[in-house]
Formats: sequence, C-alpha cells, structure tokens
Amino acid sequence: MKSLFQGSDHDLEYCRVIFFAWLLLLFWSNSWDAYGQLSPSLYRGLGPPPDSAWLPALNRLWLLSLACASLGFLTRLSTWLAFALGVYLLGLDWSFGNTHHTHHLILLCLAALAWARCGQRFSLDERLTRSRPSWRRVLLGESSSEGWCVRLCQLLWCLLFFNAGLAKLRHSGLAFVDGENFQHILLFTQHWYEGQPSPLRGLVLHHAGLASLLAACGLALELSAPLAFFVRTGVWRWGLVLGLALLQVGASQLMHLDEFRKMAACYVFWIPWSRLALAVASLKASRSSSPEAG
Amino acid sequence: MPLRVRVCILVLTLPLLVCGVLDVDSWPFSNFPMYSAPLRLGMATRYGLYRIEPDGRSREIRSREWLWPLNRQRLQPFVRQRLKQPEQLRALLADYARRWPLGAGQRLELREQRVRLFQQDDRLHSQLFSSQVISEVGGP
Repeated sequence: MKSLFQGSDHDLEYCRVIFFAWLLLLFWSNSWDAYGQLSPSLYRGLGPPPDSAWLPALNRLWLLSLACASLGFLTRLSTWLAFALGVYLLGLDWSFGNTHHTHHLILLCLAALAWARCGQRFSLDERLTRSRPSWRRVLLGESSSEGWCVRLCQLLWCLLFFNAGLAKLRHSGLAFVDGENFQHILLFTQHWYEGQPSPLRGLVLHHAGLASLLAACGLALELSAPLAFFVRTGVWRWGLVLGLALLQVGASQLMHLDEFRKMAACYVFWIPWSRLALAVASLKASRSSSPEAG
Repeated sequence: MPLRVRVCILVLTLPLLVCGVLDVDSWPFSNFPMYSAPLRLGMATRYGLYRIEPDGRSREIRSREWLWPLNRQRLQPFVRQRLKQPEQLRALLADYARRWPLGAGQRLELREQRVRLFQQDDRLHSQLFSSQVISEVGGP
C-alpha cells in the first residue's frame, strides 16, 4: 500500500496551487444566491436549507478559502473550510433534486487535500514560519511526506470512471455498445438540451458502425481506468488519461454536456509537475550555457 | 504510512467502491450512472411542464432558465421519485409560479404523458397518445 501511494511532495504543492486557483476561476462568477429563494420544502440536503440572508456570505467565504488555499495562507484551515463549504454549496443542486455528477470528483479531491498537509512548500505559511519558527507546528503541522495525496486523487479519478463503466455494463450490458443505443443517446441529449447539431453528430447518427465503435472505445476506456493508477509510467498510463480526457471532450461536443469544463481541474493531479519544472530548468540552463547565449 | 493517511484513503475510496459495486448514487459518493440505462425509441412515459392560458391554449416550458434548478431531462427523475409525494410536486410548481408570476387566469400544469418517440431528420420527435395532469397551480 505504501509504495502504491508514494508520490512527490513537490507535485502536491504544484497541484494545490493550480487546483485551488482553477476552482476559484471556475466558480468566481457562479452565484449560489438564487438557491436561497427556492422553497425550503423542496430541500433534501445536509444542513439547514439555504437562506438568502446568509448564502451570499457563505459563497464569498468559500471563494476566499479557495484563494487562501491556493496561496498557501492558513492552508490547514482554508483547505478544510474549502472542503466543508464545498460539501454544502456544491451539493445544493443535489439537495434540490437536480441529480448530476459534475462536482463529485472535485469534492473528493478537496477532501483529500484538506486531509493532507499540503502547505509545507510553495506557500505563504512556509514563508511566515521562516521568520517565526514557533508558528510552524500550528501553521504547517509536523513535517511529513504528503505525496500520497496526489496518488489518492488519481485513484479517485480512476474509480469514478470505473464506476461509470460498471454502471453501463450493469444497466445495459453489451447492448450499450450496439451503435443504436449510442445514436439514441445523441438523439435524446439533442432533444433535452436543444444544442446546435454538429457535423460529427450527423456522421455518428448515420453510421451505426461508427457509433458502435465510439461506444465500445468509451466503455473499454472507462473500465480500464484503474490501470492508469497501477501503471505508473509509459504509454499505457498516458494513453488512458488522454483517452478519457478525449472521451469527455467528445461527450461535451456530441451530447452538449458541460462536465469536462468543470472536471478538468482534476486532471492536474496527473501532470508530473516537478519533472516538468526540472525539464524547464535544465532547458533554460542548457540555453544559457550554449555558445550563442554567451 | 501513518494511520492518518490510511484512514483518509479508506474513508474516500471505500464508499466510492461500495457505491460502484452496490449501484448506489448518493452525494458525494456515486456509481456515476450517467447514460448507463438504455435509451429506446417507441412508447415511453414522460413528464412535462405546461403553461395554460386563460383561453385554454397550452405551451410546454422548455427553457433551462425557467426550469432551474432542474431542466427538461432532470425533471423526469425528479417527478418519478416524487410521484407518491404530491405535496412535493405542488411545492415545485408553486415555486416556479412564485419566481415566474402567472397572469390572471393562467396556470401551470405538470403532465404525465404516454408518447411514441421516433427519429426523423436526425431529431427526436414524439407523438402524444395520452396525457394526464398530475399537479397544477394557479388558474381560476
């Protein structure tokens, strides 16, 4: 288990900065205030029904916690606050009967980051404790290796897709990959969302073989997602991650779904940031030491 | 690996696995069943929200903005899950009527319809067979 969850501490810090900043941008203009005007009798969620009196303040507090977590300011408090308020705010759709699956992974990653001591590097907390070492224990906690958090977020990402594949097998069986089913999905989503028909959609609707191939590829990718966690390097891992990213982009184009834009933040956990930074640094070093630079 | 880390891994992954295996969908863990059930053409039951004018003319409300926090697709499971709780359906309609005030004599109807779904010109069409009002607000 230990080796499975061995990750880079540096990667975690890069991920923290980028993930929280991404969420901040994503939800900056997203106001939850309108939920306060809905009838409390429709509410079936955790905690009290939202009220217009305090919901805007809660919204702002959540955005502030995301900003602080990204900057690494009071990181332990801000990451927990981001998670706790996220459970409530991101769950408001569910609480009012709008069952969608866009925010689950974001919330689970918020939980993992709250649990990890992810402010030990690249953070304002770390800068503060340099001048005031006595604050270290309170602000950063005991120094420890926290790279497991990145691996856990990767595992959660894999399980999401695996569960989605499993549900398709359970509810539709192999009928999911007959082209007809996928063509019907395109027809229904077009009908529900009244999106602009795309040429690709027309192509899939007229070629059952292509529809069948796309459905089979999608299902195979979803069911093999856990491999991306266990295979730590190489073509297989990147093939799976990029394949599933492509699946989401394709779904958003063909089925007018908005999930990818929101879930995209969770892809940061797959990028080997520290190796990327090293590569950039060595590229810079080689450029500056080349004769032309002199 | 510290106990704190083990606990975190178990608390987040185990419920997710259980949801997948037992087919449970509950915030914030889920089996992620999006588009897993087969969608078929032919006879189907659907739910639609209609605005009825004082002269009896009716028009289906399709706008996402109007139907928020639901939409046409998500209205279906919402109603299906609450068919035995008519007060919830009425509360939804009352909420819509409060946010989008009805004119004199206008009313909102939630209808359960039997339709035949068919494809024509790359689009989904429906032929209505029967329709019954399951909840309404407003009107005289």
